[in-house]
Amino acid sequence: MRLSPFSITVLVILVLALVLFSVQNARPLSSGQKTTVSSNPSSTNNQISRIKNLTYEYIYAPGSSTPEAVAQMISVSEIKTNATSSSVKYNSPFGIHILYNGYFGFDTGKYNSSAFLQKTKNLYYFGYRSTGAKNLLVYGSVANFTKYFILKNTSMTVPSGLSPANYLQETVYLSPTINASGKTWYFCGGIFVSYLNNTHSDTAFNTLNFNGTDVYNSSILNYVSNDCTGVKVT
Amino acid sequence: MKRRDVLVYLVLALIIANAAAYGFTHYEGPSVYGDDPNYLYLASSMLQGTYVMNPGYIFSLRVMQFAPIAMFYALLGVHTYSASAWDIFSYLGAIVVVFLLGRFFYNDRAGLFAAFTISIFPLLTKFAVTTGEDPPLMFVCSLAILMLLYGRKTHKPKYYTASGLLLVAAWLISYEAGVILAFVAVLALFDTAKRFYSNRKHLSHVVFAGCRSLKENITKRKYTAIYMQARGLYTWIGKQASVFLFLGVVIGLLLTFIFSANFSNSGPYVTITRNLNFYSKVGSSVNGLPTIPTSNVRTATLNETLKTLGFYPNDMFPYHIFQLLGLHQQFLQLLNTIKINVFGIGTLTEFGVSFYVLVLAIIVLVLARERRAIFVGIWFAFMFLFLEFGPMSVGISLDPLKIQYVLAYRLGRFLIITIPAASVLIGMAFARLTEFKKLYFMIPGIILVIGLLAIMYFNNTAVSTFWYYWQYYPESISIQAGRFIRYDSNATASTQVYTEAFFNNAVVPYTGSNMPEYLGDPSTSTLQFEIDNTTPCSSFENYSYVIWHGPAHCSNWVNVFNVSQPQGMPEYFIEYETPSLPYVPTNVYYVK
Repeated sequence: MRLSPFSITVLVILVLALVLFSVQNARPLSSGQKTTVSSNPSSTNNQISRIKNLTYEYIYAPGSSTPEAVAQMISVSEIKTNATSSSVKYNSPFGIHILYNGYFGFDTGKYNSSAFLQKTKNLYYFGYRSTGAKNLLVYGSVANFTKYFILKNTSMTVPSGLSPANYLQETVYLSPTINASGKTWYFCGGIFVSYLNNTHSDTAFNTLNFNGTDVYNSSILNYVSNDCTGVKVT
Repeated sequence: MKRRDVLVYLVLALIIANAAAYGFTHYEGPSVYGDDPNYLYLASSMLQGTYVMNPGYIFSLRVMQFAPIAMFYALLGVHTYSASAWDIFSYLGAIVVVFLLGRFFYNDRAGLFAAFTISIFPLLTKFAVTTGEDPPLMFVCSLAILMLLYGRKTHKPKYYTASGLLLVAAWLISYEAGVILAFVAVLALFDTAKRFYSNRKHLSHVVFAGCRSLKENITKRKYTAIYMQARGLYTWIGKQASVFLFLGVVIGLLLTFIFSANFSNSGPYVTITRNLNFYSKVGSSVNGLPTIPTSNVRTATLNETLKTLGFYPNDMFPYHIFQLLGLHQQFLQLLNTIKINVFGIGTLTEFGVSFYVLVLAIIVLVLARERRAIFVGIWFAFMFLFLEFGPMSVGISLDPLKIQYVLAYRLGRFLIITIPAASVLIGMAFARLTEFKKLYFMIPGIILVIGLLAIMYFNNTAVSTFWYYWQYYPESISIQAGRFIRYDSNATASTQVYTEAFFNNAVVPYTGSNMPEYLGDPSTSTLQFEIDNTTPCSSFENYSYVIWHGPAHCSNWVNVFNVSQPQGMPEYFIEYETPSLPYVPTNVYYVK
């Protein structure tokens, strides 16, 4: 039997659809938030391969409910705590590690000479959100964070074995207060990238109040990783 | 082959050779634009097996931009020319495509004029030697249109399938391909409606008769007859060559989904979902005009809105001829001013005279009532109007009912997608001007065309030379500093190197050896970006090297190399650019 080009094409489509179906089944999509608590430091390859389940959200939309900015360069690769179990006691500090991945730089548009990048300032920040909350809440600023957690220390390092051009790891040490106890808290990595530029005068963002500091002519970008880590405070 | 054909191909070969000579002597690798290094980084990661398709990193979705670069890396080794090879290939490929389009619509001569026009189109020559996504996008889109046209003419499935696959490939270069997808969708709808209308009597008869007999067959339970009817329908659909356009798109998308399922961290459909939801630089501006004009449309006055619509026209017509005339200069002075503007190196235009010539070409074609130019005219108009007025998002909310229409993100370089159609229009107009029968029309026509071609050629030389130096300038400095560290210092592959952020684009992602051509191999982890005046001296490792533009920042830095002059850069250009590029001279320091 001689098959027409049409029949062959339809057969090819069916075969490809089958392949897609099987590939998809082999790697199921993440369904919502996943709780990962781990105290074991992962290896480099493991860290890279665990870049997954990322989503992006908008947070800063002054005077409007529409998204005003979206990060396009940086993602949160991984977030985990160093607590030995999924629960911690109040007043006992625990650390959260967030691995950021991406190209740390900006596309500043048309006349983006390299000199332009001098005016760029990147701020990497960590935040939290409670279950079901839509947006990331920034500690000490938007939410009454200190009521629940006390920030002990943060550090930003280049994870060993990874390129500093593309990876950064932030470690945040938090101590839960008694108010936090009895609840499970979901911590998600967040990135705010503030772009300072004094050559563009007519941007939509004139002033940004960030942690009590005014940042002029900036757009702020926010990421929250979908792969949050959950900690039950007892 | 006829002698005339030989001549045509010879001229085409000369045009391509001229373009290739430019491309292969001016390749730049990543330009000073922010996007470029990302594609090189992703090409590297693809070769290293660490590539992840990540929706938070929009460039990682542009597979058809960096996968070809990875291929050229694998074939030619890692170097600036292999980094630029995909763009140069697209530039040369587009010349052939435009020639074929000119020939398809008009004749060989129009094809040659069009091919020459696109080969010297300043906006294209500027970007054709970088690693940006616009030239490949333009090439793949124009090839998709050519295949579609061949399909419509010959009714052969292979052309339609190729066109469908190419449309998906274009989508994988940049979301901007949505412009061409919209054009083809409108065209397909128009063609289908036209065919149905012209065959309406026959079709309605067939449909009614078919439905009636199907109903009858069902009631009488004649399953063999139903099967035969279904088979008949299947065969009939299979005979419609145009259905293969759709099938090509389906195959392309399935392949994309399979690829994404394997490499993405967000499932197979991320290239669709993320590309459709990509906002870029909302709230930023270029030359005082916002890139997304209606982002605050509720507060904008009509005047402001109209002003923002001048974004592309402002770029396209850069010479301010009326203002020049208003200066009331003497004729010779005026000519000299025009000469400096059009042929002098240093005027910050990406467009040169190209769109002035296009306007002239459109006038000629309209006056000549040239019907053969209608399709290309509509193609150009659709592309341009979509870029000008097209939406990036039409957000519809039901409660309260409102539509938030956001105009597409705009950058001058996006107009590259319109260049093939513009070149074909110019090619046709030039062909028309040179085919007068009467001598007193023919001679002025030929003189006009030769004059315009010469102006375009020298104008493009000036514009492309300027941009080549402008883009290569910072890179040449980093290259010298990088080469010193690599070849003339005691540094090894594990020595820590620090550079200031603004050297990024030139030194970012090359790979292939422990200490690559420049620096910044993502696999070596020896390059620290984003140091600046606030970086504490304690964070610089001992025995490391620092590329730094000013005097020593820390007391334990020893100056070991000084780049006072960019290499391969003419003196006049250095004078022109300095001090607007403030990082010359650049030093290499050794940290004791």
